[in-house]
Amino acid sequence: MKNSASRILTTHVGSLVRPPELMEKLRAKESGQPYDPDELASQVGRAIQEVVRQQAEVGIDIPSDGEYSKPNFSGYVNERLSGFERRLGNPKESPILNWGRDRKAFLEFYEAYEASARSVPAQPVVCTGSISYTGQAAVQSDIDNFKSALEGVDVEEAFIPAVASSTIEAQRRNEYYATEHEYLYAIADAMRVEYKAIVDAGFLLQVDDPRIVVQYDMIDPAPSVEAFRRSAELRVEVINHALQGIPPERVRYHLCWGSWHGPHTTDFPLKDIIDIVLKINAGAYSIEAANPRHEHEFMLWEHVKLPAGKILIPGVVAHTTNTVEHPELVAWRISNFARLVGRENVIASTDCGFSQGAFVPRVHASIMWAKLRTLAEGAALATRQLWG
Amino acid sequence: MKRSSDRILTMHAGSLARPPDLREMVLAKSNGEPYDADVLAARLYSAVAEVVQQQIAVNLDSINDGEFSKVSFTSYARERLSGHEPRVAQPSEVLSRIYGRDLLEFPEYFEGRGNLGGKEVVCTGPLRYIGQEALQTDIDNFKAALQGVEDREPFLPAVAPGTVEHWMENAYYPSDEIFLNAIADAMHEEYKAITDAGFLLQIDDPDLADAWQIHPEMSVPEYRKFAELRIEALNYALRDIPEESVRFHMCWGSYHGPHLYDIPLRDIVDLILKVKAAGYSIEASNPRHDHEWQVWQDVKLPDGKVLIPGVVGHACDFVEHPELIAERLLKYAGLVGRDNVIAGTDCGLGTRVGHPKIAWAKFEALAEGAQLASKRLWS
Repeated sequence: MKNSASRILTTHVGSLVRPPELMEKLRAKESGQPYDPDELASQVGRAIQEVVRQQAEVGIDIPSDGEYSKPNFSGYVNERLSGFERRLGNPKESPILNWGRDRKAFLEFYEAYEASARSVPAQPVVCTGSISYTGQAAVQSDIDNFKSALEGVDVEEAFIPAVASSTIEAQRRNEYYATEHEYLYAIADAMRVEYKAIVDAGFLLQVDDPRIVVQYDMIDPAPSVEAFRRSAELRVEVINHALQGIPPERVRYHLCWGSWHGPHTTDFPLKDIIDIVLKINAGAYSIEAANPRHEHEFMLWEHVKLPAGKILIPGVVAHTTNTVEHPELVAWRISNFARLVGRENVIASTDCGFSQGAFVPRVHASIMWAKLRTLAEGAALATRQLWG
Repeated sequence: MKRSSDRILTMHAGSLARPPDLREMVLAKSNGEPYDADVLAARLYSAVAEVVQQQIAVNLDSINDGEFSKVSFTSYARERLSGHEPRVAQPSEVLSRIYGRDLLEFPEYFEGRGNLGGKEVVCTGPLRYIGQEALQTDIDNFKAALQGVEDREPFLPAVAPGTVEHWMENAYYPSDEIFLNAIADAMHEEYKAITDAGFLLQIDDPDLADAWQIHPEMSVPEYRKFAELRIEALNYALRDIPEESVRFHMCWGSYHGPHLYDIPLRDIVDLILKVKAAGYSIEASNPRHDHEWQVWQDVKLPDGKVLIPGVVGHACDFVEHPELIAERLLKYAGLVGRDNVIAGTDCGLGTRVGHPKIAWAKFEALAEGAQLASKRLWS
């Protein structure tokens, strides 16, 4: 993995706002409407060509495929794993084990927010059989599309995101495996196939794992810090099991607090889990840091040492507001991290994807591009300040 | 105006979420629809009493009436001034917009949005202040609500002449300058009544920065000249009012948008400091203006003045972490001195976040953050 050896590199967290036509097709597919799979496939391919070109144009050094083939960053595995089935849920029940204490504290807000989000209703997915990876063709298609889109584009590296075993587990009830332990390891063994395919194809693998911290908000009443850390420790062990045989320097790990547009008053503090996160066998750690609930956590690195050779990928631009970050603010945020962990160990990024799922763009597409441009401008500014 | 002499004080910029029943009645009244005047008066009285207690409960030091009698912080003045007529815009007409520069780059984003800052009324005769009764009601309600309240700094906001000009076209006075002075003369009466009643007067003047977007054709020197004229009018409106009784609030319109082309604080900070006020409340916590604390590395805050940076905002529904608020306050205290900083909000945020509860959570965070900063600054 390249570090910021001579200048601050830029990247983002993966998911980008889909073009309207693509969003429409994906919506038809997800809601069980008729659609032409060949037409969808060629549309995805074309859209990826375009989005890769756009990322290079605005100055993103390490682009993704925008996750354009996927309905969302984690639900895509429903088509790539055996052993799960969708089940029509009780409407009063949390749709994807997704209702936490912040929601309870700000219930009226969340009800209005959920009503306004035009997403496809989530159906609970339950594990009812032996889990194995069946997405070889799908991941190969992502790889082929991305490779072809990268031809002739001037970037430093490229990454493909894949969801972490712990996030898959947290969103799906287990009715098959005897223990939580067995269930987690079964997911990890299956997902290793995808992780390996991405790295073997020459891409950086990004493991997306919001649930490593989001789960804290979902448990009511709040667990003790010790109890929550124990459960996170197990999940980190399992991710490392899934990453077996994959060189850590080809892996970056992404953590965020779900980063939906809400108050986030019950988020688990980074300081209470950072030591566990750093045990993940990855070369880089991507951490939400630009929104007002987590921005102060840069100060943590005054006391925590980033292990030698590791890279920190803080969010310095956020999707939480339509207001575009000023490049001077971006540069200031980058230099705070650079001062604490060394300039070559910082890659400038976003808090999370700009479209958590295909149907939930978090800012208008034009604002997303303005934010990615400001990210590149801010990184260039920081480079001038840090390298003189 | 109180100073942060032994801890960092807190304030907010004014507008708070109205109870739904009150909002409906105030809207009906403003739209000329039927409403029961007695019911409205009684509800206003009780709602102001409630919102004063709510502000005390979240530990705000400077508190107000939530602007509960008003439709908005600026258009309320329409009902308090005579000499103008409603104006119907032609369908093809391009109205002035406080996002005029951003609009050129983000037309899809702004599509379907209202003409914030459009000229909705025309001045066709001499402008006079006719809001005495409405203002007296505000003062009386607020005074009643403050019975038994101690150790707070009560304030009432009023709009600046330049911001009135946003929505009032001049078809009567011979020049902009004379028109502005006429608005100033009329508004002077409101400003004076507020300070005479013993309250701190907050002048709301987004115009100072957001007219830059209304006039995309202007260069910075041209705009500074334009703004200077409006500041002079404001100072004229503030004549005979002690500076100590005034704080000045400015922001960049602080609507939910990219704000890519906002005028930098650096280009107008000297003009802000010309306003005859003891404190300057400046939007500073959203990601377009967050970096501008650095301006105070080079610009000296005049002796005896107080800087009130926005350290919580309404740009998103995330509640600011108290540690972030403290960090922001420490930066300002380091530059202008702890006694000269009051913790504020970017703008009136009560009605601009996803739910009123979020605004109250943000105020709680504000007080907590100020307390954390105070501990570090006075220990």
